Amino acid sequence: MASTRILILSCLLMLAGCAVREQAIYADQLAGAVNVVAAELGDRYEREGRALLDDAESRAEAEALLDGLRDRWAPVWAALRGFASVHGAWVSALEQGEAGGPDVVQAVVDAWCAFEVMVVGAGETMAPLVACEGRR
Amino acid sequence: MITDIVRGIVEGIGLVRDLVRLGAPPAPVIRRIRADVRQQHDDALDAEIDRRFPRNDGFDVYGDGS
Repeated sequence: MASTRILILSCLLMLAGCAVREQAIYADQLAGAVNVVAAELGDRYEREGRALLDDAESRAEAEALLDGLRDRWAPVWAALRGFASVHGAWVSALEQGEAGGPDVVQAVVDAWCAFEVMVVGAGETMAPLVACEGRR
Repeated sequence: MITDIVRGIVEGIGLVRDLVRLGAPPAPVIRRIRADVRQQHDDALDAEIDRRFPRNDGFDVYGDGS
């Protein structure tokens, strides 16, 4: 009887551990992919800014051109911050040994897909780690 | 008799605690999103503006307009 209880307890602990481990691997892969794309977007953002500065003839004009650039890119960075926020909360839970429930996973997928729309709109591509087809 | 039962309970609790410790996965190392990407590039662009169009703060240090 006691050995049966111990066996059941061990199985439950193993299953919980597996869910956290699988989600941790997935969360890490998503972070790696997003960080690569974000770095590429950052380089491109700066290149565009420097190209605009080449056309500027005064400081005021240069600042106005960069303000325009920042306005155009604001949705991209907002989507990145949105995903970072959702992903960060998920990772914090995983680091405490808690697997994300369906609502957490849904929030991660939504934020990823929102960021992907911005990335594709900027002419870059995302690793196909989340299925966003049919959501746009 | 009672001593044996108490000892059994204590040992049982210790056994379960050891199992929990064994079953708990190590804290996973997970990369975080670098959400500060924009800031570093903004800083670089601001520095580039300063380099190309230095601020005129009104002081003529050398008296020659430079």
